[in-house]
Amino acid sequence: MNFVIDTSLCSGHGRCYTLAPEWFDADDIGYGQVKDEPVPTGERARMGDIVAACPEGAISIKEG
Amino acid sequence: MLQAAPADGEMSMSSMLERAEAHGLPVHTFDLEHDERLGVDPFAVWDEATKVGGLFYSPANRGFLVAADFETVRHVLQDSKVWSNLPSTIVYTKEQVDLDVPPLTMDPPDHTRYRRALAPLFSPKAVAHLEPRIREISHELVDRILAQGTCDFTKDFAAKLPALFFLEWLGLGTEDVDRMFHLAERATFEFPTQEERDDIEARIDAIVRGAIRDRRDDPRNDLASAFVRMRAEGQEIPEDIVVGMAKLAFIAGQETTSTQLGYIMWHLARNPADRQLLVDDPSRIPDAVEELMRFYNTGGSSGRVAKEDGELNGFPVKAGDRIFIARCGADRKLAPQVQLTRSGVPHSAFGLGIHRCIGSHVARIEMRIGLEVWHERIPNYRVPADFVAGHRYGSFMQQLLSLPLELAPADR
Ligand code: HEM
Ligand code: SF4
Repeated sequence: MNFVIDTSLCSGHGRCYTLAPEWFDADDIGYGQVKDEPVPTGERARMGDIVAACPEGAISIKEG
Repeated sequence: MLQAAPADGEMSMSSMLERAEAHGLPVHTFDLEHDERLGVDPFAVWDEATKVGGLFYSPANRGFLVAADFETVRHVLQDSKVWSNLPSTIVYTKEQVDLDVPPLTMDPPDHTRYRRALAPLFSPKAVAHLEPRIREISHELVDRILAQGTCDFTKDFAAKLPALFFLEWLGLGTEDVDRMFHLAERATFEFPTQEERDDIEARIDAIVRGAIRDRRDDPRNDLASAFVRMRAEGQEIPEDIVVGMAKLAFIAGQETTSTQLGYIMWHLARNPADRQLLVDDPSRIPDAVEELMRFYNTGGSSGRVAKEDGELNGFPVKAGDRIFIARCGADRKLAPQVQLTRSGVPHSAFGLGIHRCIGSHVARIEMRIGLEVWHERIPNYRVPADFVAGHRYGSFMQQLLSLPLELAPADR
């Protein structure tokens, strides 16, 4: 399970990498990037919170 | 209920109104230029507007649509193909007044090109090193406040921290801080005629152009020098555009953060449990700032003009239609209470879509550090019992006029 950022929607609010620096990173202009770290299945609730926190609705969860 | 259309805007206004009526769009007079309640309880005005509907038509002044819930606000701000910033005008005023502060006043592809050039100057990594200086200035301001024993937070702290920090970073020095802050205020809060707006922008233009020209020959370690080094896709940027972007930084860098800090502190000074939460655990400050920006969104005047026909919530949009983005009401409707410990409710206080605030990362550092230092040094404070809040709304945002505080400093 991991996150996907729709780069056509991300505008660099930075909520993702502030709330979960272990899963997200900022690129050189402050837009979000998903780190190459699989997210443990037990973190479902927190993942949902991060998806909801992105003001652009740019983050989704990819199963598997 | 409907007012007669003023002669100058008759054509487009009557057709917008006719379409609104034909499509069952609510009509609600929303008049940011004249509604006196904005001086007394602006949040009631926003909440009332949001209740009318996600999209409605206001016949006030030249007539305009209003996006008033989060989904509609997000849709408009993300749809830059239909909703343009050209002309960049304040959509809700009687007079049409155009602005020239790129990259806000640009559409793609120009916008994309210049925003890409500007953004690295303000990225989280680029601004992290400014923290210690912001902390130092915050301590100096608190020293001064404690020495004087009384405090109007808006004037003595909220207005000073961003101006002192930002002008120094920009490279303009702080000897002239009051005049510079006043210019940024005029650019933010007045409802000027086009002539007055041009005059304000020309004064700011002269100040930042001087600094930028100076740094061409004499580069330093400041933001003006970074503006000179800035390139768009490897190419030199015309001076007028560099200066235009520096003009926006001059205005936005001072006034917005100051205004937002004032409202954040107004909440904390009236809600002792929330204040105590931050005193006990300063690591909660960043989430608290986001939540308070949502609930006390400074409003902003973001407007857009349709450059082609389209559709919004089933309403047929015609090229030329104006829309006002009622971000404050939209954000408050997402959750009607303040809850400082949550993180899953978004806000649009930094805007949404392609023009989202580039300065947000530095603004967040300023607000976080200002609140950290304040609560470490002055954990106990409150508004006097007889305080009556006064507000003003101007072309860019709303502001709390004053915030007197009774102080009980920490023992040191
Ligand atoms: C708490 C403080 C701040 C708030 C609430 C705020 C709010 C906003 C909003 C709402 C927008 C979007 C306007 C629109 O869509 O029409 C915006 C854009 C912008 N802001 Fe801020 N701002 C703040 C601080 C700053 C600071 C410190 C800077 C520093 C330079 C800055 C620079 C900019 C720039 C350059 C844009 C235009 C970006 C573009 O057009 O692509 N802002 N801001
Ligand atoms: S929170 Fe959303 S918009 Fe912000 S950086 Fe992350 S993905 Fe991008």
